[in-house]
Amino acid sequence: MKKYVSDISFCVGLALVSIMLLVLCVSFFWLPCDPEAMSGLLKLKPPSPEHWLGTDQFGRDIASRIMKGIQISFLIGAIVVAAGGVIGVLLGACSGYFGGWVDSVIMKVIDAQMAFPGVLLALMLIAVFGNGIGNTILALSIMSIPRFVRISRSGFLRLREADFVRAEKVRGASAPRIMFIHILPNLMSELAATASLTFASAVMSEAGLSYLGLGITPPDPSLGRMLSEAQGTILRAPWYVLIPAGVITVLVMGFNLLGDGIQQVNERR
Amino acid sequence: MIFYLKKAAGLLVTLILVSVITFGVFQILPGNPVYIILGVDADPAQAAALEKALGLDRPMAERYLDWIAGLFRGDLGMSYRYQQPVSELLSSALEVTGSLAVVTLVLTVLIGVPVGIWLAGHSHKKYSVIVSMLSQVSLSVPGFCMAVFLSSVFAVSLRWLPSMGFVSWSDSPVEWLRSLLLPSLSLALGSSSVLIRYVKVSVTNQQKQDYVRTAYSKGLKKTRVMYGHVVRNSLIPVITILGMTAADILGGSIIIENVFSMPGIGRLISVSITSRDLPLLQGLTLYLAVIVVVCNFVVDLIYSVVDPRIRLK
Amino acid sequence: MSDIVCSLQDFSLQFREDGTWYPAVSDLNLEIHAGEMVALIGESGCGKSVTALSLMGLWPEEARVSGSLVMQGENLLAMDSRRWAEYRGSQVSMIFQEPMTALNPLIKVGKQIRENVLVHQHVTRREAKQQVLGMMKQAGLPDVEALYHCYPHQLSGGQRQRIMIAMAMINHPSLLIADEPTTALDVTIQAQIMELMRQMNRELGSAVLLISHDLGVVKNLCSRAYIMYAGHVVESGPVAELLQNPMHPYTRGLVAAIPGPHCRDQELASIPGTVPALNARLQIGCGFCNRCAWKTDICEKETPQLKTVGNRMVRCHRVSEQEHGKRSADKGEGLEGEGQNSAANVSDAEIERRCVHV
Repeated sequence: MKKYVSDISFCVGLALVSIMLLVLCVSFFWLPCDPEAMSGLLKLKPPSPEHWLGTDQFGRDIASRIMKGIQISFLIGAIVVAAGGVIGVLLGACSGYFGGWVDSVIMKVIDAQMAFPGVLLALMLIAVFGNGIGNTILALSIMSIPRFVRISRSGFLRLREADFVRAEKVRGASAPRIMFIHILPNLMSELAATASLTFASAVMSEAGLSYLGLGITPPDPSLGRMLSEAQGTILRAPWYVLIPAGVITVLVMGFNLLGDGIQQVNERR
Repeated sequence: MIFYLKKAAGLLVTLILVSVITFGVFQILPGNPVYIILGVDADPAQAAALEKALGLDRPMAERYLDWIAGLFRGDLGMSYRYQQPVSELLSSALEVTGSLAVVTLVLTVLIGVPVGIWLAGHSHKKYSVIVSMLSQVSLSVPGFCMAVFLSSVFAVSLRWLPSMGFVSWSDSPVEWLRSLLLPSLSLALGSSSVLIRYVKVSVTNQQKQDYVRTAYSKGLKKTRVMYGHVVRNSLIPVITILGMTAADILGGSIIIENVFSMPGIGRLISVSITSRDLPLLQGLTLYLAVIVVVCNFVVDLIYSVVDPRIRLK
Repeated sequence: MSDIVCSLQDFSLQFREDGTWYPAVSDLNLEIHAGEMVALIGESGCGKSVTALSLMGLWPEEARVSGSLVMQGENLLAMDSRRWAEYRGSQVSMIFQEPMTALNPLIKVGKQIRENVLVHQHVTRREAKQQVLGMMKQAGLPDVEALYHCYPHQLSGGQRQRIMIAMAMINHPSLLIADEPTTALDVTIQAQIMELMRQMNRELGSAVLLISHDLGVVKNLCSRAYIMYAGHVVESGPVAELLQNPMHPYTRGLVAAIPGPHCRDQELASIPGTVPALNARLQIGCGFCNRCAWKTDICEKETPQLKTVGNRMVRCHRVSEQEHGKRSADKGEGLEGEGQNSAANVSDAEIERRCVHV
């Protein structure tokens, strides 16, 4: 743990993520206002004691909507990392541990999947299944699989010849047992870094999709859609643009730095 | 020679897989596309006729092969919404996305390579930490946030540059560049941060090599060792990530084109999704994916040409 | 006596670790005469490579250097980076242990040699190429026109080292430093490379400082040798005498470790233990005492000084007490050469500086 604390990236990342987590926790119990309450009188008001971050073009409280948006971002990030992680590690484990044709087939498919740049694959799936929270999560989870496959594959490839693995084999342990009870725990710090980076890119992709109007659908609040709504009012309410853009950036940067920090400490060892 | 054959075989397999994925995803579509075109309450007889006209009643494998055969004739299908061949729509959007990608790639290299080299040479200086931090920040700002930010400052507030649209090179090269500057910069800041890291790591590694000591012991000055020996050798591994960067730029352009309302492929993609124009989306998706695969292949080839050690294998 | 090309007086080099300076080389005195071949012998970690690199001004950044380094009358520690660049590769050049990594893998070998000509001589590229081809021929390379356009990975290990030698000799330096030039090569090639260095030494008149861990390798080549152990010169003198009558227990171990026809059925001799790590070296006492079979109390309490014994120098408390049957040449003759009792009179102009260049 001490090694992590001495890394600047890790500390800054942890601080940013902690701030966001704090906001998230508060939002479950208390919101400044009802995020859906509209008011014709309070359109695009600048920040004030009643509305800390001002109001949007429907007179809704921006602070409350941002807090709701953070909930959605964390929800999507967490599910995407969990789902993509489980599937990715399973595939990567088989690929790295068994090698041979299993490895070639899995890696070829993963390579082909990587050919779809950025959010293109997610867009394709959303076009087929329609948008909304569930489908966005599904699309982003599939998009996040290759990363986990590559990392866990290289880990399993490296450790399958290790002495402790050979000892287990001699003892007659089954392949799944060796893979998930003996090898997997050794890869946890690498996977933690990948999980953090994947979380960041899931948050970023969700915001991007929602910005295009193709991710989260109303009434669910989303940071990305707030940004696209704010863009239309940029001349009258510049703060409205900065707030969602800033929150997305802090979230993404926090998890990126955290992941980088873990990675750097791993490499130094 | 075997090296090149293997590479070409790999390319072929990837291309086939990409086409299968692109084709396959649109087959799991819930609901019949005929009703999407005609509306849910369409006359069943009319629907059946259209189904036959579109060839949707035939087996999947047959339709896949037909589709592939069409691709070789340059036929990507017909857009439902525009009632125009996809290839025509694509070729008009190509100039926009192509210009955007090329300018972004140039900016990425122009920023990434010098800053990376500089950082590697000055890693122990205090101010290099600031530059590293800045590149870390620009890596984390999502492209479209950067785009919204840049356009609100330079286009909306200062009015130096246009906030939307695209001007063709043939109309006015100056306006062309002006219309591309903000979108390219919003993409290039992120991708150049990635490049900076790679260049920095690569130069730092090369500086530790024995041949650097030999170069110094020949009596070369520090700058000559850096630019005559170290930089040259460091940039070769960096070439491999240019393919990845190109893919990143294309992926980012899908959203950026929408931020700046540029009539490129990305804009067409989002229109095709909102209007459920699946042949158009299918054609565009395949086109982008093939470009990425080919880019990576070309980068591999360049790499083997530049590094004499690879060709030998 | 011929001119002195290079002389090191009380040369010390220290590394910093956790706030303390640890000596990697201490009070080293060494002289090389024009056209002479001198060996610097010791096992890895004894400070021989870092001494050689210091003569090139390439000591590591985190090191501190003191004493005096004089090359053809010029004080090296007073040179600026511009002067160093002029000096390296023209007055002194160096070849390294591993010729594969020491050559830039992406530049044709001919161009790498030519670069050395172009930096130091005002000649056209064509003239430079002619010089390079000539030198490659002299270095025993066949078909030089074709080899000129080869990349390092296309050559054999021996050819690469010949390229390195050609590169080092092309500006006719007055001193060539060879840092274990044959260690990475096949045994059959080793002798050829050694022979090439002797030939270069004869034909071009450059002095050679040959660094090796093997006294046997240098016995037919070098006139004199310095034996280093844990940063100190423990014994020096003519190679023939060192081999015949080693005085320091470490030199004895080295001599005994040379395999030869006479020791066919015997087990190879070895010295027990290893060189102490940099931060484990004692500040007082003899550096060798943890491996020495003859050590007494004084060896742990007092650092031995270099003593002149005949035309040799040795750093051992017990050397006068030891049985040396054949110590005949030890009465009064030839006390010149090594700079007498140098460790005692510390040079008054002690220059101490951190490394700024490279």
